[in-house]
Amino acid sequence: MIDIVELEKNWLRYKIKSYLPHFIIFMSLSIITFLGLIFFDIFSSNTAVQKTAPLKKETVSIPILHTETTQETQLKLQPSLNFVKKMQDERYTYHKEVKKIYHPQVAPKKAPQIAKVAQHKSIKKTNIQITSKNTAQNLQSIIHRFKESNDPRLSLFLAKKYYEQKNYQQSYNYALITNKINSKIDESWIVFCKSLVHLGKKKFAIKVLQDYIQATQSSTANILLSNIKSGKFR
Amino acid sequence: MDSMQTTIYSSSKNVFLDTVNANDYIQLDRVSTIYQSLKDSINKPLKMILLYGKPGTGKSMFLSKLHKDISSSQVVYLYSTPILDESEFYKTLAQDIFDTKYHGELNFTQFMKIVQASNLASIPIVLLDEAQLYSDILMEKIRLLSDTRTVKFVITLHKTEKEDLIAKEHFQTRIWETIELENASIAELKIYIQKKLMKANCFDTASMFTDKNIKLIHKFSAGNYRDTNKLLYTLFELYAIYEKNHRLSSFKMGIISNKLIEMAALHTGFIHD
Repeated sequence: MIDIVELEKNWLRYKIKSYLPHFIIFMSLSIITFLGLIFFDIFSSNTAVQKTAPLKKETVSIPILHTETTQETQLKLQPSLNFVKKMQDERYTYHKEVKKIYHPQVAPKKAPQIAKVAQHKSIKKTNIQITSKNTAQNLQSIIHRFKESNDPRLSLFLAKKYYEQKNYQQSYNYALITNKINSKIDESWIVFCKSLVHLGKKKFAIKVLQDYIQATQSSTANILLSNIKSGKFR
Repeated sequence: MDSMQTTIYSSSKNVFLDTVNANDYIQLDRVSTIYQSLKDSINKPLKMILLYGKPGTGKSMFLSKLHKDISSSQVVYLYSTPILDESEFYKTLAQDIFDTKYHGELNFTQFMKIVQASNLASIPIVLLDEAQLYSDILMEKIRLLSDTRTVKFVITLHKTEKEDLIAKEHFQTRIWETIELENASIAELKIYIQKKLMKANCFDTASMFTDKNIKLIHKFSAGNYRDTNKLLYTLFELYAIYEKNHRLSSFKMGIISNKLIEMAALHTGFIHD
């Protein structure tokens, strides 16, 4: 008489043994595929990082092309990157707007000279006509010193000076350069945003301030933001 | 219903009992051709016919079938079980063929005298199964006896390397014809199983074998008839047990379960867990 229970157990063992090689092959292939996918994923991420890294540099360096300084350093605060990118896209637009803004404020014969703000050689001419010779010489001296030392205090000074002279394009540029060298200087952000407002980029200025306040809780920036929103700052 | 099913499986089981019975002979195309060739050879002026093949290829069945078929028209003696004692062998032949009962030891010289003194109307045919069991000395005597043309021998040998050597050394020049039997192919095995079952009126179980079943059976038995019989006997025994235990519903009805074929193969030792 056949012992069915025992025979069924033997059969089960036989089936497991017969499927074992297939199972091992299947599992091996699955693991290889899984590892392959992980490796591919990591490789893809690295490639993406490598591809995006230069983009950041490009984004930051573009405004510098319009300035007198050429040295590149890393911008540390993230919020600035967004608006810089936006600014890059629209820089040609606000260049035109600069003309529109300044036409009613400046005498007609001076307007073409102010429009050349972005050009290096025109600075001297503009300063001669608007400010005293001494101030222009001082600014040139400071610019020269800044080129040599790359001191953010000098660039901040230049930004403030240009802002006082209502040369908002240059004040914007120097504020940005200052921020690049040292992104923790509160005043560079303030001058930068004020310049933005004067360049007709009020919304951008608000956005930048909001991001900056969120990151630093700066009270000065908070006051400026309130003033811009309420219309007190014009 | 249950009792009827049990009868079907039990009947099917008994079909595959490993016995040599000429009535169980299954005609397959290739086998029939070989068999016809053997029958034709019998009628030729031969000295000896060697029928060889691996164990379980149907050599014994061939001899049994041949004996049954020609016994009505020819003098034929079948010795399915080898007579290993030499004297006993001569005495058996003397009594059966030459109707001479001999008491005491009978040696080859004495036996040859009986042969020469005989006056038979026709040449008797002696069918010797399992000839590989005979001693070399006795086989040499059988060869000498066949040379006298007073007796025709049809002998079967298991085909092994050693037995091939025996065939070459002892019979090469004397064998008039050699016939080799081989294992069944998958197609032949299917016909064999189905014909065997249908011959026993087991039509239900005969129709339950699918091509996949046959392939699996062939995988385990390699087409060997004896092994196939053993496997199928166990298979239907398992079916009968499952039926008795009311567990047959766990298998798909109408076709043979591969699981049970594998279990039968495990039980009969064709595979191991």
